Amino acid sequence: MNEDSMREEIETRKRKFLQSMEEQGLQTVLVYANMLRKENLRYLTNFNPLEPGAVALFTSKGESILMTPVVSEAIRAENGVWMDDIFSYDGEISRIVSTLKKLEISGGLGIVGWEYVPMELIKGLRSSPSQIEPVDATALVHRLRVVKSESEVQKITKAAQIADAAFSYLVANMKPGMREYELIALTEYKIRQSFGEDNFQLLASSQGESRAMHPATNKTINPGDIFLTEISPQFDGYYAQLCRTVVVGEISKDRQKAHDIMYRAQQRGIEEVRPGMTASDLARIQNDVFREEGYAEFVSEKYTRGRGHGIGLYIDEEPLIAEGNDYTLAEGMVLMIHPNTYLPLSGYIVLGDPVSVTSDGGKRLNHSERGLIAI
Amino acid sequence: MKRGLIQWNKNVVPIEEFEFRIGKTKKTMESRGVDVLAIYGDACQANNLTYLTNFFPYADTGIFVLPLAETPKLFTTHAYRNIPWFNTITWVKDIVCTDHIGEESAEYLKTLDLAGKKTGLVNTRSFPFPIYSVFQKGLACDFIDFTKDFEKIRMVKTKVEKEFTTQAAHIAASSFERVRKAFRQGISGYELAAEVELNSRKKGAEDVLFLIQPDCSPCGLSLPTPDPIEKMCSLEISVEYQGCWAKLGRTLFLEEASQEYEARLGELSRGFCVAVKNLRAGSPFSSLAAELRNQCALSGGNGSLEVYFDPGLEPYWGIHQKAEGVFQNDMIFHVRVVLKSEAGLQMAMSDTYLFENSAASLMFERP
Repeated sequence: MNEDSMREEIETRKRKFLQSMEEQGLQTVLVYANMLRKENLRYLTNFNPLEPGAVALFTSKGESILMTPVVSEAIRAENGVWMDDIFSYDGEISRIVSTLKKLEISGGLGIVGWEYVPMELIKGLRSSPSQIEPVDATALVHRLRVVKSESEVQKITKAAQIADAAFSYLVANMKPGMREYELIALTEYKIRQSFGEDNFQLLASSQGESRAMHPATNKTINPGDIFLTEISPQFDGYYAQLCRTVVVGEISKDRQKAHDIMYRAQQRGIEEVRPGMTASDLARIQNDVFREEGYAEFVSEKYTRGRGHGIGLYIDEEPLIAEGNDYTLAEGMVLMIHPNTYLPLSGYIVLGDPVSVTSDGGKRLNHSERGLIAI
Repeated sequence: MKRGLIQWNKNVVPIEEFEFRIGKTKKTMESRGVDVLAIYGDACQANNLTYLTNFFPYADTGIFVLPLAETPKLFTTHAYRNIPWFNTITWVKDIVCTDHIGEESAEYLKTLDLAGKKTGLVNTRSFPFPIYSVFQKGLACDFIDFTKDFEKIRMVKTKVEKEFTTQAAHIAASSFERVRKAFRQGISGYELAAEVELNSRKKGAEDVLFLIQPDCSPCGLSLPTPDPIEKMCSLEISVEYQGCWAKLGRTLFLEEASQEYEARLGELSRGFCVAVKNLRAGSPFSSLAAELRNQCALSGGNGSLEVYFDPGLEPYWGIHQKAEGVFQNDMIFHVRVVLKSEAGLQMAMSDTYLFENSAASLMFERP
């Protein structure tokens, strides 16, 4: 995406955000980013922080200010970030407070990132002479982010292609005797070569006793192992995910049966997802396949987290695809559909792909084969 | 987020290592009159949490509650399905998996009868306000910021930490060699990053960060791009091995690079060596930046010199200019200097040092 188009997209986002602020009666909003959760700040500013504690301020008059915790970050932000002012607060919370004071806030101050905004910042705001009272405004940005623009879908699609390439490279090069962390080296290599800016990856290898995936260990990949992985490359800020199961050696009937059930559940989810249905409906469609096969017990939280989730600037966005979640799906959302679960036939197995929600059903954004793979 | 090798090898890190760290922490708690600690961490900022527990909330958050006398407990937003893996990386037996770590940890703190006592909070720079708010409303105790006390404890490294940082430094140095060999006109930052990732992860790196500044880009050291490099680049390789970080940064030139670049880099390198050699135990951290500026001015440099310093506490970030403290034995620190000449040339250099026996030594062979 060229700089002019990106700038235009950021300006559009800001306009929509200001409108939401106005509707909520908020004069000023502070967007906070730490290293785990920087997606809201990136969405509104195009800045990708390398240090925790970047803060963006937006006022209803249209002013925008980016404050970084160290000088080097402010220098980085001078390119490709379109804010009225950019400066380092040098780690001094009091400088953020004094900047807010200059803005003469009379209404409430909205905070985006409330869940993880540090106590020092809120204490600083409350103890200031103007006694600024912050309120949670995270939902304002989440509502904007959940439906993706065309360019956002293009970036997720590119990330999905990188995941495809990384997984193919992994399967082509993995051999019994290699250690889990060596497999990570292979995927990271391919992802960087494909211009992926980051990656989040979990895996598990066992004879079938795994209940979940986790970061790499030094365990050796052995014949007879069932190997699971979730590769989540990031391209230009946007993540895609790919979940696949690989058998080291021959595929047993039980493992094949388990995977077939999961495949059918996912296929039904992809075919039947529609704007207007709820996240709960989409989870139920998939869970019913397990129920029909006599595995009703294994659709519970004890054996699985959910049947998917939103994906975009963060790897695990709203909505969680789980029964009981009444979040209404809309056209333009991008969802991971992954009925990953533990089944006694196989142990924990995974299958997941990114899908955009269209009026004709789900459109897969990747191309990897979805069958059970044997190496 | 981290995705390299994360483990607890009990043959290399015996339980006594954690008992020692807990013991040191409790001693400081006693001296400060603190009865219990609540240490917060998340998937990207867990170093304080991991120091005492070896626990790592790989995609979520966690709080470690350490009372002086009662049983320590871990609270995490991860699901119970992850407990078998957690049991392989931490000695803590009491792990509570919950979506409400604030409420659940506050409930546990309530059972400790803290009325009128002090609870120390660690990581106040990232401690989420909603959790603090739950603590404040539910607990009749005083809260004190224990972060600096805790960081002072962590600044003095144990033998195990020094060994792990040495390993991280070796991995960083070998990855730098790969980059140097791969460096050619037209190569992109991403291609160099691929070399660093492959080499570092294969050698067991827990996490890696590769920053690059191609051809004096105005962005400074930043994430790689697909753009081809024309003449030169500055780069920094940060490698984490078993929770310990090393950083190595250099400026590389292609053959046709100007002599001026080479000359300035030589001056910078010499200034760096002298400034570090002049460090003394008890000198404040700020003295290093002053000495570096002094040395580089002495060697005839014009323009500006930015100095970033990290006393070995944070992950790959943390290059704060305001770190407080004094140099002391068994300390590990990272320094990055960025030289900007009047003609617009920029070059960077980052090193990792061990301060031992009242002198600083580089943790890898100087490339």
